[in-house]
Amino acid sequence: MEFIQSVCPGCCINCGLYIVRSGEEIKVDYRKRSPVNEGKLCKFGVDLSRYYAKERPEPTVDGKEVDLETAIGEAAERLKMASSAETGFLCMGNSTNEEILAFKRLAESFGIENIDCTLSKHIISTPEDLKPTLSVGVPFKSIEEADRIILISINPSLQYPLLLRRVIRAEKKGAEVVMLNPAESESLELEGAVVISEITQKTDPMLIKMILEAGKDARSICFMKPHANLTGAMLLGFYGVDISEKVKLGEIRSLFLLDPVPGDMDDLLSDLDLLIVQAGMKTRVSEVADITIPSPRFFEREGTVVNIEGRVLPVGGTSRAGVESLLKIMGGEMDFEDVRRGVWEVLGVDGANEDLIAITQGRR
Amino acid sequence: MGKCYLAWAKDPEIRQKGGSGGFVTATLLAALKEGLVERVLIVRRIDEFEGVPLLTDDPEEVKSCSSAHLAAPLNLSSYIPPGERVAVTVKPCDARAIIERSKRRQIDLEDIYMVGLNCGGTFMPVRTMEAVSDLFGLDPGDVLGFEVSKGKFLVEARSGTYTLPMVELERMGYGRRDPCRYCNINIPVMADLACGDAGVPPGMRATFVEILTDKGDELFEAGIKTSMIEFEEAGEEEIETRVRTDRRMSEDADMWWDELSSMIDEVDHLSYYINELGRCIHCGSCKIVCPVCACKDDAKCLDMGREGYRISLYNLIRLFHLMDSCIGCGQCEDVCPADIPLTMIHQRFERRMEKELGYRPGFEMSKPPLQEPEPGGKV
Ligand code: SF4
Ligand code: SF4
Ligand code: SF4
Repeated sequence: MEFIQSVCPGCCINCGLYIVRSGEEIKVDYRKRSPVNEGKLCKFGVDLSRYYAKERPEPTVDGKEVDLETAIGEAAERLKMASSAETGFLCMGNSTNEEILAFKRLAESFGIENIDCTLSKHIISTPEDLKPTLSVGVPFKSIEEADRIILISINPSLQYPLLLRRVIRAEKKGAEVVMLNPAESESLELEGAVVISEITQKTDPMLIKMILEAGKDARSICFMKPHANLTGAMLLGFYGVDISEKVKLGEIRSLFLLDPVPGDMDDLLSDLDLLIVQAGMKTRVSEVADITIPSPRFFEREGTVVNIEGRVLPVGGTSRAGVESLLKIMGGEMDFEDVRRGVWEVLGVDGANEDLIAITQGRR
Repeated sequence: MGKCYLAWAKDPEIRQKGGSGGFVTATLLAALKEGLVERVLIVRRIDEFEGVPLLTDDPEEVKSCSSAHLAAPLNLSSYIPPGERVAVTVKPCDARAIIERSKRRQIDLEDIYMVGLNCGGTFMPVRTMEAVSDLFGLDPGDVLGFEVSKGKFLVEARSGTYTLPMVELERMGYGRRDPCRYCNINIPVMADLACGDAGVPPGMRATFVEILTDKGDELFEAGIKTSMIEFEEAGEEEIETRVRTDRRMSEDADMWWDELSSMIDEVDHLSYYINELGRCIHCGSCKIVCPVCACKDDAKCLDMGREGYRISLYNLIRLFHLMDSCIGCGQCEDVCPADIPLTMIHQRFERRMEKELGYRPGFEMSKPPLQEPEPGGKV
């Protein structure tokens, strides 16, 4: 019975939990010491052991099982041959900061500028001074202390139950809580309020623009995100172009996907000239890839994520394999420690600390 | 009342390090050495605010653990491996859970040695970290330890000792978990041994031990036989002090019960239940952690957790199924993401059933009355 302190990969809240290992068996247990969720989990977190029980991919090249080194070598070769202007790197925010930074360095080493964390289109159209508001949210304590909370196009009880309890606590203390659907409201009055909304690949860019505009005199704005480490991906600068759009237009012919989840681009993937996938579990996408590079399951990885509150949280594992595969494709000039230092530097922190709100929007 | 002793570890290092003279640690070591048990189940301290269950047969690991961890509100009954002889350190709610689980054939009581620890309540870790930083301006990382002693909350930090009366602390919304505040069982009389501070003369590094069962005798004997423990008989004055302390703590708990449950009495009951239970997101955690729940994935309540009900039948079925068996351990409330005061709600039903049927779950092996209706009987 080994208790591993870990975080849930289900959404940007990154609830703390234990993975309890007894031999091959894996269970989830409640970690009441986590400052993020105090031991509470939503259904996804409760059922996490089923998610981790999913089949893992084997290293493959053109549908044939190979050893890991061969898959890595082949990925390097084919990336060299691909046109960098027509190659894209897409990370879906399900990876550690260290993997994301290694992935970014890998793209740079091949001169590839088409990088995306699925939210590039929103980020590039946002003025520089408001970008931090888009990436990191607010400490949950500050939600509990709000006088007025405005929820825009988000239903926390369905999407983010662990956020909901903070809103309810505020309400019990007397806060006014309003749910707004901008389609039905003439104008947004956000003065002094804590504004909570969600940003996904499918969010209407006009909505984000409206919230950011009207929210200039809000107390704070928090954009929830559906994947575990989209906050980290944005802070590490993993954005540039809307890759899904470019794939649809046929402008990207070679694609490297890091920890993909099923999405609306999937049908187009088999038409690409080259598809490389690095992932911790088998999906339809890893099945159609030309090259598959397996990585450890999320809780087994050594590394960190940034949660929506701005805490830098250790994922809890000890495996560096995911980062190391990416570095090997690059040619092996960097090692894990270099990447780790790079992450600290970009995030401006000196390590992971679950009790510290290390990254803030810095605008209010 | 069983035989009562003041006892401590013979090894000066264990006596010095272990809480209350290291008796519990020494007894666990003796049980392993004598082969009474294969392993012991205890709480491994990660730090002052975190502890996890540890199942071990390694004496060094046992020595490094503390018998009680105030900020690790675990119920160890859920971690007992089936088919193995183990000694477990138990708070009253752990012991009651073990007895209820054994009635439901989840574990075999014969295999288990319960080393009971008197309990005045446990703390939620995050709230307690907030208390030390909000009230004393301390960085929780600088806290070396905290305890409750003679009605005071005492924090030992690098910069000194800080203290506040528990009453004040709890009036400010910090302190013990709500279910612990109104739990009126402080001495685990259903365990094999009951160990605690109450009754120990001031300045003496020892534990007041009451032997409650034959297995308790075996444990104590193992300590003597292996020369792990030393003891003297408890005098009348010491026994009286312990009884008084226990009575005072129970009265305090009843006062909290009246106060916290009156919040429901003062409002319309139906709207209260609709409002509170209506927030349920059907995560299923309250069932998973409930030590007296024995159904697995095909549980009746789980079949009824459909979306769209204002209060789902899931919660109502659980209320029915537990109204004679809820031991008030607080595990459900701890993990509920909707912050529903589940223990209070379950206990409001259970306490009434207890009065009516004279059955107290987790005290002895008789079957829950609602599961064993007597023909022509009261139920
Ligand atoms: S709220 Fe998010 S991080 Fe927390 S348990 Fe659910 S999916 Fe996981
Ligand atoms: S219902 Fe809650 S308080 Fe009662 S025994 Fe189950 S977990 Fe414990
Ligand atoms: S823990 Fe709370 S939210 Fe989850 S099923 Fe139980 S009552 Fe519902």
